[in-house]
Amino acid sequence: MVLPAYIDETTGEITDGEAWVALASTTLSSDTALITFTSPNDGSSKDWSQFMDLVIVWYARGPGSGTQLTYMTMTLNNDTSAGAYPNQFQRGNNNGVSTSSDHAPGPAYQLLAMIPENGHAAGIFAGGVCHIFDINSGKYKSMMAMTAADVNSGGTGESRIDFTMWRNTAAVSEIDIKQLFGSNLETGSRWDLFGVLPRMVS
Amino acid sequence: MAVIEAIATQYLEADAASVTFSSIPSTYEHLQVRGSHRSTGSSGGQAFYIELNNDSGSNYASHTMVAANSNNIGQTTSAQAYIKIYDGIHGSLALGAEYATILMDVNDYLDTNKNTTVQFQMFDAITYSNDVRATFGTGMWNSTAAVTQIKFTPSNGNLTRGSEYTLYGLKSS
Repeated sequence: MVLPAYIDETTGEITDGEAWVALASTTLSSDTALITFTSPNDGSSKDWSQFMDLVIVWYARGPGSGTQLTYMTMTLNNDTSAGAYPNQFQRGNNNGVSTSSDHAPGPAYQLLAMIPENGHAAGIFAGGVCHIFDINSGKYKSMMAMTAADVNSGGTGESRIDFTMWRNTAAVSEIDIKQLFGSNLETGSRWDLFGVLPRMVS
Repeated sequence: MAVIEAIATQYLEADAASVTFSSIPSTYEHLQVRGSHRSTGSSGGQAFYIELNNDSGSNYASHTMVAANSNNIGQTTSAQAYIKIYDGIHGSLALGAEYATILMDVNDYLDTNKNTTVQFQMFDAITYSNDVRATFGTGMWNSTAAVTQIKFTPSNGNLTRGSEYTLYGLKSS
């Protein structure tokens, strides 16, 4: 077992080193329907139970032959119950700026992003960052996702920010990412997961 | 050498009027605060204050873009005693397990030739329909002093037990 980075291998003392820990990275070599990250739950340097926050940095392209944007969603701990993910978003596109919320009770997934369908020119992907806060607390978990989805055609692109709360107090131990209706995410799409440590030494 | 270091974490085990990071080291290029917080005040949304270096003079301004249900709102303040963020945190009217969130960057905090500008994203009261807010904003401190202290205060009530803030330092090399 690899010791967490904040434990000195020689002395066993807790130290404060790099606060961001690279946990996992997935780049699709073929079209894939489901991306899953799980905590190893083994007390190692990558065990999610030691982190304050998680951050996902991603670059993705969706299915379909159209030239619209499609839904990339995320669920935590396999929770797909109705109303589990109330949200508020704001976006800007060729129709101006709009905002909306869905919190009564909310969807059964987090909208992680809108990503280009596969009918767009090759090489057009959306990119973004998602922060998941205080993942081991007894709070409902908060998520903030920022997306850049510029498609260079037809005015269908957008930039957006989505704020979502997981209506559950459990520690986060699994993340599942997929297209809303289960279609494949496209080859070349990529997700990098980081754990963010708190201050370890007072 | 670590690029991002956790300088300090404050996790409230009891309600507190405010949280302060003081004696911030001068060994980084930029600062970031990541937080999860809530107020005991009887409110859905309420203002949130950020004060730097214990300066309570009328030296702060802010601009925000806010998503509030289906409404887009732009807000500005000036000559305040703190960076004032309308509905930047929620109080006791939101669900008990729901905490608001703040992600704030303080870039180039040591430069004494520039006034300090901060940038933040925050949201609160997602399930409390009257006051749900998602905010992207900036604040300016009208001083060129290096930032050595950051204080967070809700406008009404205390910060609730379980509120948490971690201050990170970012190095460029």
